[in-house]
Amino acid sequence: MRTGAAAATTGCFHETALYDSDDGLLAVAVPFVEGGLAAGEPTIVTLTDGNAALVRDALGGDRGVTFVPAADQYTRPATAIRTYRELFASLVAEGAHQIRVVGDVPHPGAGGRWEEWVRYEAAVNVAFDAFPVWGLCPYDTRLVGDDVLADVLATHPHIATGDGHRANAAYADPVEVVRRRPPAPLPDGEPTTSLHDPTPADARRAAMAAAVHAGLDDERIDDLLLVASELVTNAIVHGARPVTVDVWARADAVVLAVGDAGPGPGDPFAGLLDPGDAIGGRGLWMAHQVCAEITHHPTGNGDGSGFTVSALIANRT
Amino acid sequence: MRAPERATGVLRPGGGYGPCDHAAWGYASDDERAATAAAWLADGLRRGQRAMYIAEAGVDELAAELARHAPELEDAIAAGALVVASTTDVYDLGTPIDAATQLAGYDDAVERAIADGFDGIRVAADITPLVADPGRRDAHLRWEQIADRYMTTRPLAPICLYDTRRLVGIDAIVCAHPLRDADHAAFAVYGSGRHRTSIAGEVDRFAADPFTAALDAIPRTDTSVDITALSFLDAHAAWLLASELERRREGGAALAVTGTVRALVRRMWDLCGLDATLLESDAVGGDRR
Repeated sequence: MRTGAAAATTGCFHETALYDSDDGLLAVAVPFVEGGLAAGEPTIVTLTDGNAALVRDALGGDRGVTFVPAADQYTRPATAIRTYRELFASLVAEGAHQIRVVGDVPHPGAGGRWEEWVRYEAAVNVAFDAFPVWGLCPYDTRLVGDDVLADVLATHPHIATGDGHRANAAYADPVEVVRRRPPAPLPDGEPTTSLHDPTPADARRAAMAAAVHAGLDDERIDDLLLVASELVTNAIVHGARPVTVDVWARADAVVLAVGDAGPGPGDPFAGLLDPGDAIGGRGLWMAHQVCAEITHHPTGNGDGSGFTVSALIANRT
Repeated sequence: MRAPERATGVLRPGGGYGPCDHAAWGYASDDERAATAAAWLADGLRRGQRAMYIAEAGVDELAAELARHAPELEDAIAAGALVVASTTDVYDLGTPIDAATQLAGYDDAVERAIADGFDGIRVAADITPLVADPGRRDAHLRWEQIADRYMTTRPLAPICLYDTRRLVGIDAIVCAHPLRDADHAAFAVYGSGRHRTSIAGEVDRFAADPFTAALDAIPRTDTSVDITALSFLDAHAAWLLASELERRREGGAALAVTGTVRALVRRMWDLCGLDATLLESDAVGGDRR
């Protein structure tokens, strides 16, 4: 049986907590963790180092809690979803009735671009719903602005406070949240190279030239070739010609934008969730596994046609 | 004999090649065919190989077209160092090619050449009539793979010429040659040992059909596959390669992956969730020659 606020529910119980002090964080996080330990539920803390230290001190040690550094878990939204799902599946197979996770999802002021992570916060409502997961996502109101705060409230159906738990009236359909995001701007400036209707091999060669120019590390070059090839293949196979590729070589980074004349994927979470055996979507998913910063841009003139994906591949600093 | 290094990649017509090299070249005119054959055969003769030209025409006509491009070949024909033959003298076009029979014929010719003091045989063969019928192509692809394993240790160096005006859809056959024309530069699946395949180059979804056919035609007698020179494969190609390795392992004729597996290949394997044990060279005993 599930325990705590999520007791009578099934699937993912996605909750946020807004705080403005260390004590405010601990007032929510510590009872959450203690409750999990008392019930014998797998309990995972995926907080930033500072917040994890606060919780560990308050608990008086690890006490059987799994501590995972947020920087390791939240490298890329699509990877975080995949690895969490694998972990949840194995814990359920071992007999867990509920899994508790408290995590610092990256956001402005705490190590991440919101454009990518707001899609994550919306998508997990769907992606984790196959598992009895109680996910708690605390946000520090000293760091986040009103616009991010509004998105946090729109993507979490539940709110925890020091006084208890309540349903969140501001929660919105996650599909709609993603659909109505304003289109992100494409990269600035003239591209270093532009290709019209290239083959994936042409795109790999252009990407390779840019990678050498940018001084990318070998591992990142592999990532770039992989992303260029998969995105162009995806555009040719599932989009519509003409397919365009623009490449910007910068110091220690390459930005790649692949566009086509099609309407883009119908699924607003395309790229974030493993498409399994579905036709299409694998190329986008692969690119999302590799890139921390990858954005979908509708590029049409209101007629629903035109779709571009831009991806940044940068040396690790 | 100790196997010499074999040349791989895009063929340079007229370049100097060794006694075990194996090439494919698409020609767009009869004159280009004759010029390419003449250059290949003259190179072999200079290196002490016996030479053989096989194409679809009378022998006098074939001899004349060679001499137009390399006058010295006339003397080689007179001296018996260069043999000219019509396709039907060498190949039975009535049935799909039988690899064992054909290989025995070439092996005889190689041994006779060596007994006569030559360093093996250089062949220029127009394969257009052999593969014009799509029904013959599967058997021909398997023949090319089997012949190519033989060439890794015996001095037989053929160039397979084909008419690009008449043939489409023979990419898998061309990609079974370690040396190829520039239209087939991207990838190759060929022999690098009597029982070893090498895969070289870049494979993506748009090469899926020839790649699948090439993998399927790897001789069942091969025990290992070297992917050191496989520089890129996309998710689709990784899945195709893994499926073939899995099928052979389940069929009791596993191909052990040998050589260096590039980081990009491993990364693609991981991202696609493919079975990592398929890339372990020690999973089965392979050909370590």
